[in-house]
Amino acid sequence: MSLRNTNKLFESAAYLPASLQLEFQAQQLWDHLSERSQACIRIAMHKTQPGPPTFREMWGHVWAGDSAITTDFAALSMDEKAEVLGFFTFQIHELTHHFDFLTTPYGANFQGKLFREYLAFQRFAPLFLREVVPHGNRYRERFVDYDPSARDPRPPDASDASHTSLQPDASGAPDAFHPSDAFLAAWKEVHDIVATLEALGDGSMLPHKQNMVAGWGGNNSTIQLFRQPVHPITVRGFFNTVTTADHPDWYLRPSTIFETRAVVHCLMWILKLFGGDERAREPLSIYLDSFYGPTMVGPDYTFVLDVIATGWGSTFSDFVRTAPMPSLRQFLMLTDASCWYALQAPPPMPDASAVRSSPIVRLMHALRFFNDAIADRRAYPTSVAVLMAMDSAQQAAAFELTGIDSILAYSAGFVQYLQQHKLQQVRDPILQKHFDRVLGVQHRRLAERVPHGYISYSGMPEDGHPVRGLRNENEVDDLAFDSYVADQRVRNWFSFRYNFLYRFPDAATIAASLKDFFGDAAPRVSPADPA
Amino acid sequence: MANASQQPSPEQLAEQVASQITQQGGSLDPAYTAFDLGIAQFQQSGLPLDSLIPAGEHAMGFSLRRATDGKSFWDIYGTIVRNKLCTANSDLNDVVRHAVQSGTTSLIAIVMQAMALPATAILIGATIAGIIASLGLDAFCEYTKPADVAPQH
Repeated sequence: MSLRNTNKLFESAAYLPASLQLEFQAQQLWDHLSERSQACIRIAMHKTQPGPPTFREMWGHVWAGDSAITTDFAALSMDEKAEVLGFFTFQIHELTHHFDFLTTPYGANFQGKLFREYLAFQRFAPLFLREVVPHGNRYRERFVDYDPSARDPRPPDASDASHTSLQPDASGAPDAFHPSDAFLAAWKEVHDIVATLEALGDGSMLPHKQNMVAGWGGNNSTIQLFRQPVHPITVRGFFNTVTTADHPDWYLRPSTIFETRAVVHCLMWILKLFGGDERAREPLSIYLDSFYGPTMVGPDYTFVLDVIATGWGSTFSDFVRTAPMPSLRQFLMLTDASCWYALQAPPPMPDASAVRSSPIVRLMHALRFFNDAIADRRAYPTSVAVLMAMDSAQQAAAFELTGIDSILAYSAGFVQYLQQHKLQQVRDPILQKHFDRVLGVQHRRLAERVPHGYISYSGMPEDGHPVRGLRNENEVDDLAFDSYVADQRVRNWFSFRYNFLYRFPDAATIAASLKDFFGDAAPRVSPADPA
Repeated sequence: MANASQQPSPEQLAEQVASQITQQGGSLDPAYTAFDLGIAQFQQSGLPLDSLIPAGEHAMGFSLRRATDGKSFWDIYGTIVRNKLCTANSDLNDVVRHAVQSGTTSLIAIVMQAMALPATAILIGATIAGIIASLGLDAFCEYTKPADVAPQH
């Protein structure tokens, strides 16, 4: 079995941030590994008992001091080495995502929006079923692009032959659509949340081109991040970010921050396995070349690393090949810290604009601070000291940044408010239980962080492994993958809403799913809740 | 194969794809070229290609990849088409089986409806119809079995 085929299995490893699940076929991966890779993994785990590996077997050994492991690993082919490294890191990658979504202010903002979106759909769906679904065959767009004031919105009837026409609009001009005021108000409430989530990258794809405009408020000047020129764009009218000439079909977004941290944590773990010295260099390069080569994945995984490496006149993969190992370790730690800093962007706060809530603004501030600190040869004793200095930098006021203490306290209060005052509005008991779990975990984790500010052993783990940063049983109960399994109905909701928002499900599926999740009874009239 | 400035009609494209696949002994290379054309047409509408590919919920991954061209698109989308059309004795399976006999116009319409493709993806639907018309439904379903969605030629 070649690495290419094993890679397909690694590609199938996915973290689902809405339902908090890890999706992965562990046995299938094991079966697809080469025999030599399997043998090396058994040696590396010191596995003597049958059954799935324990935490200690998977991550309890440093390989550098064990000649049995290092000798066996050294004898493997490049592809086999990549398989072994992938096996020991893919869960670290997904765990990093899981912890980031549950322990950071940005995670609170994101999950809070998913919760509010659900409530908004609860109001909107019966109106959609009543006013749009029964009337015909014109709804043939993604919901995220749907505007009832712009065109006839009625969905296709699955049995309507005109949907199959090669000239789909040949059946004549649509009848006029006159949505009720309640419909328009409910649609706007849903749409505002959906459009925000889309801009933040929830759809995993670019928005419609008409929703991306060059420049920030008319300013089109190129920005330098280290030595990388980037171009400002505004998405959905509020989300200021940047793109590059090399990647015109991409923009810097929160998933870039999440993926950068996940890759960095895996690299830090490999560094630890091989003793943190020259012995780690070849495995690190193999890992990057095998899983994150320039044509293999999108820019989210390596863009930030490559940007910072331009400060050394290099690409990140070349930096890994040539930099002194202490410099590489410091590079990884500071990259991790910069992205951690970015994820402390809070939900919208009453005393600030959307700028304060942008993880991209925080990331760019961090990268420019980082660049200046290197140029000025400023030294800081710890990563946390760097982050505190970022908050008090002269430029911080322009970005409406505020202290981490108030951000954490506000974020903990935000999710607590949703849990205590809005959760009971969710009529579906299964979905209510899910949101209760999410908001409860976030409240406990954020509240516990308040006295510690940026300090987080799982957020900035010394050896890259977030689980090894957990310090008490409560954290384990909240954050271990196996501590919560979302009900299939929860999975079905998030799967449906993702396809409804960003894809083209058929009309029958839309109608049946909305009816299943929300019923078709007319909603009680209540004003939109700004929460 | 016509270029973007001389776009064939969907029926022409489906028939071209079908005949070229047959001429080339079952190679899907002509379909990949046609998919490139269809993808370019679709992207002119302003929408990203990923919007055509049904998915589960939002996923972040160790090493997620995206469709970028005709071949990588079919690597992903072929499985989805198979899952829709190849369930034996389903209504849709029967409809497609009859449409294969009726000609490409009917087959394109069935594919567009079955896959819920928007009108701007008509050349993609036509290419899929061309593949099915060339191979026949049984051979198509066999050809696109999960372990071999990307045939080697």
